[in-house]
Amino acid sequence: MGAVVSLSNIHKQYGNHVAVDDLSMQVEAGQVYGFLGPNGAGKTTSIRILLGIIDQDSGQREIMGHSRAFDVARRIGYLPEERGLYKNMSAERVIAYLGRLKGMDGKAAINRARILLDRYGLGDAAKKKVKQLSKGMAQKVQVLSTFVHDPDLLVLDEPFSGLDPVNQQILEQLLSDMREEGKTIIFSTHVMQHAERLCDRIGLIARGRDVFSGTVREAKRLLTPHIHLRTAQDITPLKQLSVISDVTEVNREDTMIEWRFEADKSLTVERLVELCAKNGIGIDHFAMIEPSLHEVFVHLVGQDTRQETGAEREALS
Amino acid sequence: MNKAIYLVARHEFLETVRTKSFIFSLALIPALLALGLFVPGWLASSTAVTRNVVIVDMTDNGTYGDRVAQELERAYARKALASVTAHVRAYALPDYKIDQSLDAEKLPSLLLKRHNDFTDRDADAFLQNGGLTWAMAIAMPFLRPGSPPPTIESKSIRLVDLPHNMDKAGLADDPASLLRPWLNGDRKLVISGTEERLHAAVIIPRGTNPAAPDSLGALGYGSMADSVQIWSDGPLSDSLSSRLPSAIDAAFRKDALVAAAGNPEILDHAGYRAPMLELDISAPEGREVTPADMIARALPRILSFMLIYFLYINMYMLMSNTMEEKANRIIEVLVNSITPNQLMVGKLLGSSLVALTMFSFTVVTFMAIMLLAGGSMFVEFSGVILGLLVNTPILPAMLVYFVLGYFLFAGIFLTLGAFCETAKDVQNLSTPVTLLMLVVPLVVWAFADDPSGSGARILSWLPFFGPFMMMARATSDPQVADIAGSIAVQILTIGGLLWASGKVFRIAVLFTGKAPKIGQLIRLLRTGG
Ligand SMILES: Nc1ncnc2c1ncn2[C@@H]1O[C@H](COP(=O)(O)OP(=O)(O)O)[C@@H](O)[C@H]1O
Ligand SMILES: [Mg+2]
Repeated sequence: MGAVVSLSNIHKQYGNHVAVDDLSMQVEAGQVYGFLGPNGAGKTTSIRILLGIIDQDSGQREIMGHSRAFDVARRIGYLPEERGLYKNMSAERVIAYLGRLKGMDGKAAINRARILLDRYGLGDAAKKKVKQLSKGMAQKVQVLSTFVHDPDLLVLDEPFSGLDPVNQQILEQLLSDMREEGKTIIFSTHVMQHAERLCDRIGLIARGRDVFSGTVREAKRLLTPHIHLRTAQDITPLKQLSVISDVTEVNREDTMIEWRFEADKSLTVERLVELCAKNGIGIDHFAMIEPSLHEVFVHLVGQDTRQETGAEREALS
Repeated sequence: MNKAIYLVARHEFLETVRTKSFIFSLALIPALLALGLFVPGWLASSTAVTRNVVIVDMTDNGTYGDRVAQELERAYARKALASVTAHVRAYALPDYKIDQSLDAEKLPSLLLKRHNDFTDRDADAFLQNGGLTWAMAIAMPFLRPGSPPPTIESKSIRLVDLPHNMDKAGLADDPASLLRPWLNGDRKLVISGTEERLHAAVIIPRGTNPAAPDSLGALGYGSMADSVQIWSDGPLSDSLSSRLPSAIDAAFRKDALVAAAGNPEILDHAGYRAPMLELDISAPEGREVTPADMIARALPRILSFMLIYFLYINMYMLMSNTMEEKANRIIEVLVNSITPNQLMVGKLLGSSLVALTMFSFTVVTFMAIMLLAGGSMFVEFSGVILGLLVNTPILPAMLVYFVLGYFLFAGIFLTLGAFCETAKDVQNLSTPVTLLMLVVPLVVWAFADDPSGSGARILSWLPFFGPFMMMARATSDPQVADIAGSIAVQILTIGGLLWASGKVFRIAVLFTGKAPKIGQLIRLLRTGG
């Protein structure tokens, strides 16, 4: 199956400011694609170019076999980064209206709107005006409106921002449901955990350039896993090995010390256990911890973006 | 494509019509119309109770008093007769009509008359033979069965006797102090058991004679001793001032005429007239100018006024509706589903439909109220309008210009609305448009008297001026080139405005979050985004 969406060598500039620089990406049918990067990286700009809302300065775009998203608009659902709905319409009517604009029949649209609102816990809000809903509820309503017309492709720009943890959870569930239904999903976020849980593939961008694209697993394999080892014995023999680096003390209880270190990929778990036994190091606790996507990201784009993503991460957790 | 336009229009219409403010203003229309149409009349009729007037004739032969009374009666009779014939014009059976006008061959001449056509003999016949009953008996055979009864005003002046204890001779010496307590309401007349106020007193002093045209008396500079005195507390009320002086005048004038001729028949001659037909060259064999023509002539001004009024009340709605999607940030979703131009056309149509609803509701309510009030004048008027609609291209043509004019200005509102981010922007930008809406008809009407002149022709071809100018020219056979040209220019302008508003709207998507400066937008508009 070919690419549902492909951008190749996209370049977009606002005045002298380069927003997107030689960006390429491909999303296959049925994939959940996470578009990751810190604020200002160029995610929104790329998405807008992809959907034909703005035009690129150079490069090629293709969406479902067309160069203009407008030609296949009915098969696309889009949640823009800046939210907004008709404030004086009721939730169900606004969803139905947007569905009709995407080619739905009037009755089908209102029925589907009601079903969706019910299914995602907004049944009571169906008849309420959008302006009477809380910000989070309104955002959920807008998310529902993006797939009321049963699109094949969902493009969501920062869908998790502005939601509390419970609703973020619901949204993750919703996106999993969509994946089950075989839809192709592209979403952008600057919070890596969502991507980690949901994505088949991710694209990392920073300062308008793509720095990585592949599966989450592939991304994580860029970094060696951390090993946590708790023992009462001296681990100096291990420290001296060339395949072990970055040893730090994480925790100390009585005589027990928990160490963390990085091991070379050539060092298998069996070999490590063997080395411990040989040097008389008793293992009280042993764990191999994968790097988080965040760590991979920081590793890829350098320190300067760490603060930004880190701060965001804390604010949300 | 068209489906999207339909959906936007439908959305625009339904969402406006469902708002409380719209329903409220709709509900207000009948109330306001009724208030405007009836309250002044009702107030007038309830406050302007019958005016009690005493006439004191001190002349030697003492006949002026009676003649003034007679003229007052005749004036009332003429009014009543005019109401009856208006009723006939409104409700005559089709057999007695030709093209909205009464068929002169088949009707008695009395029923063909309008207010000024009724002679003293007509009035006297009315008064002597039983008034309205007599007049309706003549009219009845020609009326459609089941037509409502005519509305006839009651008499507004009642002549009363001098209070029995008043000294008539003293009135000649010092009328003011004698009349004061009566006219200012301190003392009351007793008329058939109830107390009534005296509203005016007419004193005809002994030396009063008809005044020759250049005499001081005729010019209002006569002395108390030889001029009719009309006394009242403060200025005469409207109903008195419109009837009393003219009745007095008529009595004296007729007296002079009869005296000079030595023969009362002279009065019949005074009613002679030039037989006249007003003819219109525009019909092939020339035809008589009918009331329909008069109305057709007044129609452009009425419609222009209505158009401006109508635009004015819809301006805010049109401008803020475009603003909504920008303020709501919903543009980005929409732009992905429909083109900006579809959106603008849809909005224009939807808002226009709202306006049309309001307009039709007003017209229908107005007509219903008028009909319920039983105005035969109104029935006659609407018959003429209907005739214009069916028989001539004038009214349909004017409606076309009306619609074009509406869409032109509505297009401006939409375009400006697309620039706006807040209600304040709407307010600021609406000022110059309001001025344009006032200036355009003023300029057009300056040229309307010469509808075929080059000024009028040039204005016809200009956007915005065209619809008003062509409305003004509609009754005077404008050149086909002007009609076609004007309509084409207006349609192109409307298209251009819609295109521009779509473009502005489209560009607005780029400026997410921060409101773009208008200057910035204009620059982008020029460079094509
Ligand atoms: N309309 C615009 N005019 C000027 N600069 C813009 C505009 N839109 C985005 N940018 C700039 O382009 C860069 C990328 O922005 P954006 O695509 O919104 O990033 P992200 O969505 O990843 O946060 C930012 O530096 C932003 O300031
Ligand atoms: Mg963004």
